[in-house]
Amino acid sequence: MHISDGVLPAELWISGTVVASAGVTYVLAKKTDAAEMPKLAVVTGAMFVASLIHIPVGETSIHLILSGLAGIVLGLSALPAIFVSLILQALLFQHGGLTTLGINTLIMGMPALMAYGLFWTGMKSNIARKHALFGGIAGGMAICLGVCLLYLCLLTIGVDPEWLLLCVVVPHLVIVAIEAIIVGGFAEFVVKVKPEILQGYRSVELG
Amino acid sequence: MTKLTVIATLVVVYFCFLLGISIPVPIAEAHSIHISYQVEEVEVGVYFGGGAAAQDTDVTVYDPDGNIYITGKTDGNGKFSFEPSARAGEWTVVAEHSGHRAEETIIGGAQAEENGMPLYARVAAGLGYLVGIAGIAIGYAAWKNGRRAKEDDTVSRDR
Repeated sequence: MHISDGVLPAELWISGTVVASAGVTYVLAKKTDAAEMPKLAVVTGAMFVASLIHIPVGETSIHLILSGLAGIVLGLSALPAIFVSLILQALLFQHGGLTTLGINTLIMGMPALMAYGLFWTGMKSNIARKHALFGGIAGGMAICLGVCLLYLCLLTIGVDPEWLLLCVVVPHLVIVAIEAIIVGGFAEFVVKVKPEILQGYRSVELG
Repeated sequence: MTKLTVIATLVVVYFCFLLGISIPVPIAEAHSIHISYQVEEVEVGVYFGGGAAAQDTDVTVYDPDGNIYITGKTDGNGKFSFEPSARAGEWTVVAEHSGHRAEETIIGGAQAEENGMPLYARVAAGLGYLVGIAGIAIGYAAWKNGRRAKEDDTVSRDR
């Protein structure tokens, strides 16, 4: 889910940068509690390292993304967390690029916010095992939407749609399944142990 | 509690498993691409100022460590060819002809674009940055809180 430097036309990455930095600035200035900083740093660290966990699928290899996890744990603050982890990945792993930071932040961040919304909505229901269920849905859907955004982005620059489908979209279905399990299990586990660290849980159940 | 411990252990084992199966895979780094190249043969041409080929010019090639790698003379067309070893770095070619001297450096040998820092070090560096950023943010928040508390204190004392 990383677009490298020099792949996108300037208007796309510049507008991506503008929108993403506006979002990140707004969230950091208005919606982030300083007391949340350690949690934010831990989730950022998890995302940063998760991209090293590669899973070979066919001829390509894909890696964990954990945007859904960031969403349910951090809520809106997932945006700056993703932004920082992408900076570190670009600088230290050469994943993605510095000009495409903004657009990559949006590709991962918007699904993370959606995952937060999904989980938050789910918490209001009374379904049995709703934490695992909605955690899983949030984790999986975040990747689905992220891949859709990536697909659209790469379509606009004229990448062959069939190739994209086979080499980008289909392999990511594996990640969708894996992250659904990880995030579902994580949500179930955390709700038992320390539910207040889940932003999506806290805003519903704990007021 | 025992159930939780079991779950926690399973999670840890699962991640270790994922790490284990993923790291040794050769295609593991499909997300950043790099170019490497190997220069098999270098042909240098020596010319006089006007463009005429300099025949029989003494050519000395130094490897990146500065040691003489090969010496020879240019052919009838002013050309001299040599095969550098796989040693990466700047190779220096010196041409000398009747008191004239020219020097040129060539990036040769096997070049692998790699910043030399092992992966675990880069991971550690990233986590280090994060701890630093979080630390600064927390420090700033604490400083702000402290100042606010002090202001409140002064206000209440003034009353």
